[in-house]
Amino acid sequence: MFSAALTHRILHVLMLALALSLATTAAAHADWGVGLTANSAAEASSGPGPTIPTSVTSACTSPTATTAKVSWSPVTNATSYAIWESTNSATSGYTSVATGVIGITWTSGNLATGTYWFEVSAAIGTNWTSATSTATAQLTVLVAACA
Amino acid sequence: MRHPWHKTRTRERSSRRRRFIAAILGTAAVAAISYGATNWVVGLNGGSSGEGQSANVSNLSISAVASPAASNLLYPGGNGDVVVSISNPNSFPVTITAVDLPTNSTYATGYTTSALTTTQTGCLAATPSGVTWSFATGTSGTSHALTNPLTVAASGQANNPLVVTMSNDASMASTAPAACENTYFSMPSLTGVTATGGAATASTSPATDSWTS
Repeated sequence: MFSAALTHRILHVLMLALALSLATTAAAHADWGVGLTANSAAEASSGPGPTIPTSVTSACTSPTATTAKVSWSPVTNATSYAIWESTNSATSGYTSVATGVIGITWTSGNLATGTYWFEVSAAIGTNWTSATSTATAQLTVLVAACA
Repeated sequence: MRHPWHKTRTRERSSRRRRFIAAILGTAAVAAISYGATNWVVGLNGGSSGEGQSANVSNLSISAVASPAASNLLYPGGNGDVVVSISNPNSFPVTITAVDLPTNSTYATGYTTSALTTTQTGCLAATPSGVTWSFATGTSGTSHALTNPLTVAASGQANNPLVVTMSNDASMASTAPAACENTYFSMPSLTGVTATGGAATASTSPATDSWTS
């Protein structure tokens, strides 16, 4: 029916087509989807809370003003600070007068005549807070004067 | 009367025809066998999120590991590193290109040490701890592409398990309780991965990677 040469040529083409088919099929199935077993686990860790602010000082903004400026050194990772004020003594009677303070200084409003001490605490986020610092030196406010 | 050579020619033509038909049939048979040998039924393994080849493909497993310790720690309102160990039980490498996360209200549990054996009072998933996977959403199973594909070597080969630090892929809410200070967290389980098995160059352990969206 066909010549020997033609027969061989047809066979050659068919074998080539088969080889291509096998290669394509193999390539299509060389990668299989792989899943994950249940209850995988991973580990993270948190750092320490904020340390107590240091080098806390207070000073009159001017000799004739009745406002005070409180300053301190920055605390690593702190996101805000709180200011505490006492009019009784350096060691007791403190109340919070400012929270969420950004930066490392705070200036009060006009202070009534009297003596003042200030302390500062640091915060990371809402609930991680430090203890309060040591008190500043006494600040005396007089009528239209501050020292 | 036919000449003898006429009969010979006829027999030759018949023989060639039979050889040709035989070649066609043989080729078809080989093709059919080959096709059957390179296609396997692919199904879903229980507990997995991707396709697995029944009987021949096994799921990856991901476990917590304390070493290397995360150098980027969690603080309220910030992100931190997560460390994992990925094991591949298959006889071929597996490449991970994405992870599937639980919801952003699925919280980590806090522990007192890196061994993750004693829980941290006041810093539990139910408290909540405020620690979740970064970029998790309100929908469970969202897929997050890795910055670089991770390839875990075949079973028994070096770098399997593969230890990976996922940079900044844990998040801590700004309202995290104070009890969560200095705490180790077991992150919520991933809901799945996008991974394929096949020839690939294995990643070197320990590796660093992340998803950033």
